[in-house]
Amino acid sequence: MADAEDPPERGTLATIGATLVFALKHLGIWCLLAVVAYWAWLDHEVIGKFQARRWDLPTRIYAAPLELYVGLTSSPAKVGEVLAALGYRRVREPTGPGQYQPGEQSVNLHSRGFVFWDGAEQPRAVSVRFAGGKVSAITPGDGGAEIGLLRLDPPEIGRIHASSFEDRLLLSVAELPAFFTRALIAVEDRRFEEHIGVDWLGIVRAMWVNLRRGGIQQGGSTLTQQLVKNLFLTRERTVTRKLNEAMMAISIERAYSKREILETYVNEVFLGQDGIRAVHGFGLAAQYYFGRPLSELGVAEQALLIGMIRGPSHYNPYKHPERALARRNDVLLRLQNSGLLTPGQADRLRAVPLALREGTWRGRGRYSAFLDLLRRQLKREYREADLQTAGLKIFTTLDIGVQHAAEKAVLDGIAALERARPASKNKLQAALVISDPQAGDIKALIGDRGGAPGGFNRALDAKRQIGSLMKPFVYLAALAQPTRFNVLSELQDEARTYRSDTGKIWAPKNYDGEYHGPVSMQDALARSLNLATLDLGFKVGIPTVTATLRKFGYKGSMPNYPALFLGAIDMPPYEVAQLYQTIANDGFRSPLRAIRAIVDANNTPLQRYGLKIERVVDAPTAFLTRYLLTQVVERGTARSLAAIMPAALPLAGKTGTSDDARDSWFVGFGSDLLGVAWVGRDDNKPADLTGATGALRIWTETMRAVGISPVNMEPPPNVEWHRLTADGRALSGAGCPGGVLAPVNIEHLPQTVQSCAPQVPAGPGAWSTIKEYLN
Amino acid sequence: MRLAALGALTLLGGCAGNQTTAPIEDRRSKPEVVVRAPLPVAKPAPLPVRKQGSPVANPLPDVESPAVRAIPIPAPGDGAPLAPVDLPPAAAARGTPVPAVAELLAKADQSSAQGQLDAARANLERAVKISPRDAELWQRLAMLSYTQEDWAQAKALAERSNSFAVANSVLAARNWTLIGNAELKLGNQSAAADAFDRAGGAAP
Repeated sequence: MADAEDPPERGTLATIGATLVFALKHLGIWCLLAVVAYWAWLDHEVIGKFQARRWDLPTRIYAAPLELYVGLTSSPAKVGEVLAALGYRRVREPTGPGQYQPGEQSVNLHSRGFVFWDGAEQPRAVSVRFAGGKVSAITPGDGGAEIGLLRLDPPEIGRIHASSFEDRLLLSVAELPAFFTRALIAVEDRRFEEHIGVDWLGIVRAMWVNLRRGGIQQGGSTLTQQLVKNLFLTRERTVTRKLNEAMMAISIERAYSKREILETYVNEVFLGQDGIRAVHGFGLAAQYYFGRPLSELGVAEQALLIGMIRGPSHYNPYKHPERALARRNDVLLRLQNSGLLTPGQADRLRAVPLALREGTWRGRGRYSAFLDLLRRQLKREYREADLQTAGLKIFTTLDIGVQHAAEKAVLDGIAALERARPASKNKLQAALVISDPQAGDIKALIGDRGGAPGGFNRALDAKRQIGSLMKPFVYLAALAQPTRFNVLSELQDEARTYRSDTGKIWAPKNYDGEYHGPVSMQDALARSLNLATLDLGFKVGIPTVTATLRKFGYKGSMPNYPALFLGAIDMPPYEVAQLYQTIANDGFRSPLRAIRAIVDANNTPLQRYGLKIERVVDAPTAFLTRYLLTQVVERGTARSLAAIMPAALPLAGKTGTSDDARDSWFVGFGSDLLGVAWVGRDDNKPADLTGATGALRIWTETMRAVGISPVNMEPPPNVEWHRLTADGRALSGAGCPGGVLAPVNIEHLPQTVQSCAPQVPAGPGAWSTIKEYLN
Repeated sequence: MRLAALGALTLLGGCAGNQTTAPIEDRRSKPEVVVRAPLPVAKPAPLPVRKQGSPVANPLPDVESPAVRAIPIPAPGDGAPLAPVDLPPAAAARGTPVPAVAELLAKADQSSAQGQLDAARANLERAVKISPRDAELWQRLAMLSYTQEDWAQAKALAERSNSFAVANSVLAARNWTLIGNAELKLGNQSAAADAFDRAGGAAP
């Protein structure tokens, strides 16, 4: 809807006058009555339409805001990055919202306010100081008491809109900068406050100026007339239309206050086209052209926007920067002539270059896996039409910092893996799910190595064999029977064959092809020994293991044969994350969530997704399982992680490699982050990867960039560290060699104590007899 | 020889024996803080008795059988159902809290006082993100859930609080009492009795 300049108004006045005279002379009173009747009808129509007009507002989606608090691990650089991404301007001294000044050990910033679902955060000028890698103080600029907590405005990550849509960031008159309002009126409608909708004096002046200067320099349309034209009328520039426009403007002015008209105008005026999206209103235009709210724009920037009213396409600063600049300077001259700017100010401003927003807007197509997850959840409760037009605000759990780190790690990781595997060039794919183990918040989601939008979302939909990722649940089921098993219980890693009901023979092997004989539970899981796990599985039983997985929330199908113990189940990474989250969270299951809350266009909360927990296993069992998983990292198949991130230890994890190395998995967690990484090929061909070589690297790179805290290894009540014999059957006596320190459920502590009396040549003593008898 | 050894062991076992019955306490006569006996180590304590003088009936079944959680058998008696119990008074001062947590707690108190429970919950959830191992925050969430009649969540949150609480502390006693009350609302009389017992006293 590009608009060219208005035709001069001179024809209107003359025409009206002529028509009236003609009507009166030749048709008499009837014509007059007809005109009056028409006007009354038009008045009624216009008011009705104005009243009923409702803007279609798209739904806005926000990622999690950064909460600065004393004690948060961060740095001036990290905070600066977040602020820059939010469009804050880097200045020498913050004077208003949306500005910041980074320093060596501090960041001065003036936060923007924001209305969250749980209350409004006011804009605040603060100085944030850092010490020892953490925020050490947040001091308000007005000299008030130190602040404990400051929540920044959340990053917007997407919109849900109709396919061809108008978009707005609504502003109320109160939110308009005072200078801006005066400037707008000075440039577009000098007598806005005084006229009745049509400004006869303005028309006359316009005619005069146009006559003097030749050509069309000024239109005489009032803001009200422009509004009417935008809202109701077609583009034709006929006399009839101009007449209608004038009458409708007068009608509007009779029914609505100047304030209301101005407010509608600033939100309605067409200011540009962005692909299929029409940019209406100064609120959105400020964001679109400058990446900042209107209230944060300088005079030169405001002048450009005002100048664009006359021709948003013609004066598009991206496409026609010279024209835009010239127009802006024109406006600045007008402001100077109106007395709003001194000549000195105007001169200075005219020299300011155009400084437009850089980069793609809202990173269209980014975060596609997460937005996909979001849409699926929304679809269950909201109609698409409502989402597109009701102007909802959705507050999500996405952590931009973690997401960016994950994206980079996947990109780099896949590239490195493919370099070493030319046979799989361009064929490897990846998925990554990162969550917060305590509350189940999804912090990052990657469904495709390149993050391409609209593609297959592997994080949610790629059901791949989980292989060794299943083993911890077999061990957990065992540890839930503390009378029978502790972490040192002996398993037999030996050759076995199984015959199925149909007579088929299954002779599984370990990954290294060897048989290790008697091994402790902790060693068997650390080294991911298949045969020892099968031994344990049989001791525990398929029904118990199946029931355990069901208790953890798994609803899919499970095989009823021993391959279950080795992970012959297909799951997408998202489900794996949900299962392991319970182990990470001391046996409490929190459903994974992507949405925190949804509010409507008036900021009234529609829905809250609060913290929800459910006890699935007791604390000792969860702890002991977690302990086994730390052994995987410390000594087992994931020990390369321990070598790369020693400061973050202990960390818990499990590598997973499925049949023929088609799937490479790694699940790992600390106390504040849990991640599931998968690498494989879409065509399911073998990828020559193990969990340790593929998925683990991506996981490690992500966590190294983000920073992960060690898993909490404080034993719960009923678990204590004791020195046991290597087979876990007895307490290791004082001074006995070969004792192993291990966490044990003290409700079922071995009652016998190993004796290490010096060798007695005679036959077995009382203790060893008893031991033998009891075993 | 074997029998003798067995016999000796049995005697020894007998001496170690079951934990003594937890003393019956009438909460109302002891308004001040109750210091609980340490939790039994070997076997869970049997249920306290309702009537004076009757022997403890139906101790909890053995926990030895695998994969089956022991379900306490309801104590016999006049069949009078248990009633919800007031929480024991909270401990006086918190340790030095993180300033952000203190601010959010204050906001939560304010919201609670004004009956804005959703806002209080939001503040507490923010606080718990900052200090995830703070037992008192989890307890506040549990109490909020109880007020909002979400009994299952109240119970789970109180259990979560207990995983961070010092055993036998006032905080733990409050949690157990809250769990007991929630169990009553869920219709689990025996589980409620068990919880009250762990809090250090039987329901009237």
